[in-house]
Amino acid sequence: MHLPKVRPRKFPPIQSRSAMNDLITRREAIARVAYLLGGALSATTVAGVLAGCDRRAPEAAAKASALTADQKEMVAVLADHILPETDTPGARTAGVPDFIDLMMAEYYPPEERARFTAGLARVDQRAQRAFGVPLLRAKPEQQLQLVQALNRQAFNDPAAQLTSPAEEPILRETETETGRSDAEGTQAASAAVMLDRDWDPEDVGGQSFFRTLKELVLVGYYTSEVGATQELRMNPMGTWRADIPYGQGAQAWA
Amino acid sequence: MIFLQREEFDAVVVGSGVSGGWAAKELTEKGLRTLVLERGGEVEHQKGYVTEHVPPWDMPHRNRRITPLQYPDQAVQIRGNTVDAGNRHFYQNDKLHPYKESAPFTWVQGAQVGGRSLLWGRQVYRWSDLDFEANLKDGHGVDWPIRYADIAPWYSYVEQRIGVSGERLGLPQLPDGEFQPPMEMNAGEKFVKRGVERRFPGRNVTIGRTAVLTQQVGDRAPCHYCGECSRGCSTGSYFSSQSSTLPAARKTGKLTLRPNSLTHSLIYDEQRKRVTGVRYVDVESAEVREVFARVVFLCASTLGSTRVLLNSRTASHPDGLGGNSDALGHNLMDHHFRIGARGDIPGLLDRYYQGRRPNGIYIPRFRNLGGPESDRLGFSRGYGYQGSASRGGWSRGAARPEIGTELKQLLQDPGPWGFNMGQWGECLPRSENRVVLSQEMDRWGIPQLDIQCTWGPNEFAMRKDAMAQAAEMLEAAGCTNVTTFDEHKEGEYGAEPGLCIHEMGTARMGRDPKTSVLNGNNQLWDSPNVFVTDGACMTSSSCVNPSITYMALTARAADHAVKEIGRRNL
Repeated sequence: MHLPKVRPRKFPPIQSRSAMNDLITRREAIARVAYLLGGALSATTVAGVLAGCDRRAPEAAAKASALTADQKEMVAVLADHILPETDTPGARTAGVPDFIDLMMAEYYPPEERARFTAGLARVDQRAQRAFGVPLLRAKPEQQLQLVQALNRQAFNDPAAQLTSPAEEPILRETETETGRSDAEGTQAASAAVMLDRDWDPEDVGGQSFFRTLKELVLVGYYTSEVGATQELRMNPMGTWRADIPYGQGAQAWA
Repeated sequence: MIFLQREEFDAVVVGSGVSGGWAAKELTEKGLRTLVLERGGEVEHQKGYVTEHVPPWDMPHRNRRITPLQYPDQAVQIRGNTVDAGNRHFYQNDKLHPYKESAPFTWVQGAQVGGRSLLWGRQVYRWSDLDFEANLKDGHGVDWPIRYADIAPWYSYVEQRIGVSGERLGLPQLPDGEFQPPMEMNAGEKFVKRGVERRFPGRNVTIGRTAVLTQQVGDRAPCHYCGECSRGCSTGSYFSSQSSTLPAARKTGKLTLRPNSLTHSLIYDEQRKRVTGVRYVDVESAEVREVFARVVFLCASTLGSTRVLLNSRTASHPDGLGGNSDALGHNLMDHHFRIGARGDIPGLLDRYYQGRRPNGIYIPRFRNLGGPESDRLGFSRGYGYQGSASRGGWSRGAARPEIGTELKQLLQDPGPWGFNMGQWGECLPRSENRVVLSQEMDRWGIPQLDIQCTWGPNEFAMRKDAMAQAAEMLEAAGCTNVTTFDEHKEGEYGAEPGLCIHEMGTARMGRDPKTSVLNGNNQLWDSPNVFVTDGACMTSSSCVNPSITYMALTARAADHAVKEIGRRNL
């Protein structure tokens, strides 16, 4: 599969996987900063910063779960279309599904969790109507089409052809039945139209399921080690440079 | 209860936060054997900073904003926006230390060695005679018994020891101090500074004056800009009791620090008309103990100290020590904030910054400085602004319509510049803003406080002006999409008193024992060997952050106490 290239980074990411490696590389990173600054960091600074590197949040170990295996896999599929693998890992590899599962289990109140799983259920129903199979059995390009449609509706894209739910009832089975009877060659195109015309008020605008999902995927990705050290850069400790040039090939701080 | 041996010290200090730490340092360095009673548990410098430098992926819920759903025992603390998973262990357990609110009042408290000195915002501004003379001039509250000249040398004394970085401006309303080199503004802040200062002569945009080091002080290193001060700082780069005052006190060999010791009341001798000691509870065993001393420093936080005074009820002081005046428990103040403006800064896309500066910009007070506009504004006193410029981060992606590779690419670059500024406003002393002891006790048998405090017409009139001026300045500076915000909701949580964590008053200093609780040296009129030097002593609130003033008043009071002991007056 062809992966689109993202521009090369000027700063090599800190490569680390395990907790132990993490400790070592961060020590090294700080030592490097101290070296680069030509000893501008005092011995106390370096000692203090290094002392902090052995710390870990006391509660980080607990892992709760709220989603079924299928629901979690659906999250993984949707998340990987929102932030796919490029020259850096995508959302699934960065552990986003685990993060969202944990947030559903421990962070959100029951009503929010119910809203989220209801949103997942609607995604499955829409896949069923458009492609005749649930999301996980749809082809990757069909899954992507569905994600794009959800995204258009969540952002009120004019292409989504949304009309007021009060004036026009939501298009349901009758339309999709027609879609399924289409010839193979035109099926994809008509599915896209169908996907845009099949909508639910809960999937439209700022409060939509997809906006919630998108935000969770972003948080899960960019606060992960992969997102913060490979896709972006960790803002290094050591010095404050208030006003520096930013140009081609640079990257935002995580 | 039978005491086999009467425990005695030269001095007892109640509380180990910003003020208590300073009292401990000054008293021990002057040779007094000093006991510090702290209601919370031990937090050792360095070892106690358990979340320091832990990256987001190792934090619970990636350090997202915490909610009462996960931490029901901290439901009050969580109302503010300063608590997170990285520092919540430095905030109190609300179930252990409950209070009553007759109107929305958020009481944010630390309950550990070091108190809120671990958590404070570290902004440091001297008061001026504009503040010390305000009550006398406009008739709100009573006159301060001191003036700027009385405290100025103590500001210098404290600043040199805690380390303050900042820019000298030569403004009469915001006197300069003993400053280390200032932190630098970023490109967005320089843009706003240029615009505001060009269009509004007499208004300044300066870097925050902060108790964060830019140069070494003793074994405390300059800031390493990790940006997570409230998790604790192993390099001691910001002032806390742990980094600064407690080690100095320990070095004298005269310090006894006793954590888990909650002060109940002061012990008063009716014959000698004098406080002779402190009654406290060991919070682990619930045992009540007594300790005796020549002088007592109450530094238990504004409302903590007043609660001790209110609970020190004696035959001659049925409403508590200080309670024979009309001031004990009254005139509670806090700064009102969470109002201001934000806007986009056009361009500057080729400028960025590195490091996480634990500081922002400051716009000193420019209202009611005595000029001709003073009568036309419709409110007394004034306000300042704190703010900062930054470039958008990855979180802006949640509001973007892109997905997939396009979204990843977009978020690899920082977003546009934005500027955010919020007002910090002075609150008038008003007698009806008060605390009393409720009928309900905490689990150690100490009556809970009932807090009744609301903003008044002067605060609301000031807020209106501050919000409009914020927007006007940002527009004049060339910002676009300028919008205002005001989070106050009448009768609800949002910008209620207490939230700014600058609570002041309720045992004010004054010139008359009938209308004040303390004299000009922070001595209790009812027992001159008791000193109250935290926020409780404040006679007015100014609009600038108060902690440095507590430190200076504490050092000054300790000096006075020791001199009075030498003169055999105490």
